[in-house]
Amino acid sequence: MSKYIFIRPKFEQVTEITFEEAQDAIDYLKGKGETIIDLAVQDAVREKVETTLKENPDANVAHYDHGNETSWIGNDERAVVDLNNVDLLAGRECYCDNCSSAKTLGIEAWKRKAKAYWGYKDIFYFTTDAKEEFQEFVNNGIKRHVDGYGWKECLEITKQLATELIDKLVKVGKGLAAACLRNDRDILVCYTEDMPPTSDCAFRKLSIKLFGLKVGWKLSKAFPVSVALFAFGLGVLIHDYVDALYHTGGWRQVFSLQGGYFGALILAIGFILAYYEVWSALKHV
Amino acid sequence: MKEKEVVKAIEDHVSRQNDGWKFIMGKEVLTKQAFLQKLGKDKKFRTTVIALVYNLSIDILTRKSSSE
Repeated sequence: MSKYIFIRPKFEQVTEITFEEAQDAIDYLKGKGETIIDLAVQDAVREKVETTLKENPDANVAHYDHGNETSWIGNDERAVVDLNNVDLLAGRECYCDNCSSAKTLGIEAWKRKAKAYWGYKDIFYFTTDAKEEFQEFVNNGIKRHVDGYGWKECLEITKQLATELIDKLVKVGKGLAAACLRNDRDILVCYTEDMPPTSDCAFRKLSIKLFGLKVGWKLSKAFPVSVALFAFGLGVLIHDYVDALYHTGGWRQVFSLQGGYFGALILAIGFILAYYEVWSALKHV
Repeated sequence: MKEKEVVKAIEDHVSRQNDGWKFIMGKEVLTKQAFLQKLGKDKKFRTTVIALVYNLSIDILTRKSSSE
């Protein structure tokens, strides 16, 4: 049996609905013998969340509603978890029923070895004429997981469930609800060791391909810029050097053995070695 | 189908909902009236809702054709 910390604010209309969704999940988990630490309403604030996470390093965590790309929002509308305290998610399974947090915060949590990060990478839409169906969808992952399914299976099952619910909603004339659920199904992701995040960024894709997942996701935009600057600088240097050689002694001088060529070669080897060192170090972080 | 026709279909669909119906988009909660008003005035919102509808259609068509 495992332990789950539920963070569930309730301060306006949307959180009133998701508060009840969280209650449904809590009831199910309790029925399965899981231990629940319920940080509800006024307890769903940053200080309390941080303290509880620190006191329970073995607990998994669920957050129900209002988030953005970099944070989970608490009852006082401040972030309870964001990029400044994301380290607190390391080693945990994180289950989110909030908007967009899988886009950046989820990836940061995954990089810091969160066991799983279940969430949405964009804005979550729903309509109140299909509350039951949306509740079934948002809680399906955590319920199936405590039933014993792995996260990969949970994701597949939940997406399949969403498709069935979409068809059901279309059949009963709730087309807009179905359209919202289609969106939510497609933005739902789960990051684990076996299911790493993906990226639309060409540089990120290239760095993952070149250096592997661990290092590829850690490199910032400064990496391709630094490589490009080095290559450009070396190119200018060699061009001017060759030009000077040509003007001194023509092609014969250019194609003869020159110390400058060795210098450029040593520079390039040094650069590659330095990057190899950085890559090796990043791999083990 | 022209955009106007899609918008008309969405308006008809929402108009048929009961008065307690709400559309929730992240933090924003729109009542039936607010939704219809925004759909008419806010181009970005209109584009978002039309995209939701188109994507659902594509999803259904793709699934049906792949199962045949």
